[in-house]
Amino acid sequence: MTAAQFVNLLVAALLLAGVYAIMSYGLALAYGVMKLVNLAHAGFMMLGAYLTLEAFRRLGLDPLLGAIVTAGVLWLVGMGVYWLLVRHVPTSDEPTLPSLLLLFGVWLVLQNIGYLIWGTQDQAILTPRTLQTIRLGPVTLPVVRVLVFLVALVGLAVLHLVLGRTWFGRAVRALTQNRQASRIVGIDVGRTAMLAFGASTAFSGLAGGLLATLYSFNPDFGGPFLLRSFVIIVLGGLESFAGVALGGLVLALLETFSVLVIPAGYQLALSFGLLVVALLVLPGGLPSLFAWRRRL
Amino acid sequence: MSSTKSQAVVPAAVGVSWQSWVRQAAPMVLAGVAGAVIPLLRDDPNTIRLLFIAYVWVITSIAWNILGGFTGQVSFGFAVFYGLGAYTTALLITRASLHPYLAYLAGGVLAALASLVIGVPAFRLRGPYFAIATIGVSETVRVIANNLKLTGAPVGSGSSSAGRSTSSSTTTLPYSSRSARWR
Repeated sequence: MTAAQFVNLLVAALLLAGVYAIMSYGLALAYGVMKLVNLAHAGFMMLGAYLTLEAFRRLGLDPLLGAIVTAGVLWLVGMGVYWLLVRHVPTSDEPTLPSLLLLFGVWLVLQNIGYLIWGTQDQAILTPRTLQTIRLGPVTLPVVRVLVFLVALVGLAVLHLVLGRTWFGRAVRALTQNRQASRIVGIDVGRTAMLAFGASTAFSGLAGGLLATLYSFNPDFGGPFLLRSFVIIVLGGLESFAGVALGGLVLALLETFSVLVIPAGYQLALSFGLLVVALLVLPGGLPSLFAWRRRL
Repeated sequence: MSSTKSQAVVPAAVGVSWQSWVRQAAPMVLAGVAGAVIPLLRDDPNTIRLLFIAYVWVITSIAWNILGGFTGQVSFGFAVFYGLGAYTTALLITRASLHPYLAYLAGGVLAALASLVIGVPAFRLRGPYFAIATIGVSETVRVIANNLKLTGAPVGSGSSSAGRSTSSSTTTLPYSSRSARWR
């Protein structure tokens, strides 16, 4: 491998990591606040992809702008789903099995709604930008990927600001740390959970919309990305927000560089192998590795 | 979920009285007899197909309930064993021209062996972590099946032609080798 190839792969991995982080925060928010393993995440990503497509086809909205609008729409959808369904299942400090099954059901329903409305054909969003590239010396940058990365960065910055600077963010962080204590200091758990679930689906939708500009999709679309998000938040240590970004980067690097060794078709198998291994030997995620080293 | 079901079943298993045992067994026997008799009375493909699918769901549900219901370990990875049984059976019938009934058994045996390989590490996890790991296993195996030449890659493999020539209940066999995806 030449140095140029190496740099190209490295840049590709970094650009991918942005989207991976966005989609994983969707999952991590719901897990943190409600201890909910949001299997419907995949369904919301699929919905985000199709809404972006519809906005592009019918309204002529730019897909990147469409993805942001879609995120707003899915915020409302997420709050609706929370109000209708999720708030009725028992939650505790560990994810509960009824919530797991409920959200799995929501995923299946969304998937079949997708088949009902949009059919089984693969769709893609093609704009004049899709095939454009920028050359920076030895590095070739696909324009779409760079733009998607920028939108992802903006999304992450907004999330960071909201979590760090607002009362809602403070409530989310408090709930993530300790549910009982949050109740005692007077946080409205139901309202915060509803808003956080909405935010979580909004991030799913944004990720779905962004991924739709990179890949083709059909109503089955979310599954592999749901599992990648699992790998990332497990690597990131289920409740650490910085860890999620790190996990996204690790997975993107691993997937990108694995094409040198194994056929591209097996990329997914590699990530899920990593998931199982991480769950078994590293239950606290990558941050626990650092904590362990600090203890020494 | 787990506690109520196990309480309902344990008395029968211990054998408190033969009446309760009969009460437990009667619906199953009835279902079995119905499955055997109805195709004799109405021998059209649609009825047989409907019954076949119904009983496949019964078996897969029972399989899931043993783990998910009695032990409370929710697994999303049953598609792995379903698909493994299907591929094993289909390949044994088409490539090794084994008798279908033997091939069904072989499919079950191979799936059981595979469950040991997957189960020993996976059962070190509990609850939601186990559930997530099984999704991982399921998708991994799907990806592998989609890429292997042996399984016919994404196109899949079928035992329909072999099945039609060797079995008496012709319409049922093609369904034994549906895709490896089951959710």
